[in-house]
Amino acid sequence: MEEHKEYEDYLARLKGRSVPFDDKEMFCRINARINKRPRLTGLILAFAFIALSIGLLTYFNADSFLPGGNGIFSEYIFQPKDVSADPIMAYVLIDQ
Amino acid sequence: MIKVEFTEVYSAHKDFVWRLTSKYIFSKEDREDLFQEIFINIHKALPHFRGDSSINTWIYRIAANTSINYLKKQNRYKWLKNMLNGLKIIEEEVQTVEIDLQDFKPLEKLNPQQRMIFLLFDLEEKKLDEISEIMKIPIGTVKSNLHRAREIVKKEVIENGRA
Repeated sequence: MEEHKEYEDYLARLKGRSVPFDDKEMFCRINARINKRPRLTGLILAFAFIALSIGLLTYFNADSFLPGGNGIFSEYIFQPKDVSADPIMAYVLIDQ
Repeated sequence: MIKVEFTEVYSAHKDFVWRLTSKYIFSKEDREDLFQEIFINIHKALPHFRGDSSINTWIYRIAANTSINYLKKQNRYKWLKNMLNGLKIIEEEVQTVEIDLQDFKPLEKLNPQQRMIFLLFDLEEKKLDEISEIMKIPIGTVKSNLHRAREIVKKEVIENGRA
């Protein structure tokens, strides 16, 4: 019986607890977080795009399309057997 | 689709959301963070509110789900925080305590779902079927969680009272 009363007292105490808060300040903070989100997302996306671009250019060798480039494009896609048949190389050769 | 203004929702429900968060989370910083997180989620979900349930139930649902997920996330990284604290890699969090934490000690023993059900039933005085609707779980699960939560709290209260 006494134990039950102890529990009931505890519940009453917990119910009566109130923590003060500044609702206006909290509203300002919520608004700031809501308005900040898209900008932050945009920034993260921009960074991710730049990082991905740098990564891809590095991986595929940015000079693949240029004479002397040994990237994956020149190696697997173009593979010009006859250098003069390759329009880029032909242009470079003519230019030289 | 019902159009509801966010400011209206905030003014009408801020007090109960604060009451709930202040009993659900005990550190000042986390409590404020959770409170803001709940209203950010409400803001995000507001355009999709269809009015299937009452706005009160809908807000209770968002508040309950956000709180449970928040606490689960905190518990998940507790070991990492403790480890980093031990290694002195991060400074120990200074928690501003403006209330006596002794009364919240028994609630710490409850898991996130039990804690929410306990607060909704015993402090917010919600009915079992309302809690079932808010949390989208069967009434039987609400009952068993509430029973278990009460047993744990009772045990803790009695043990602490004797200590």
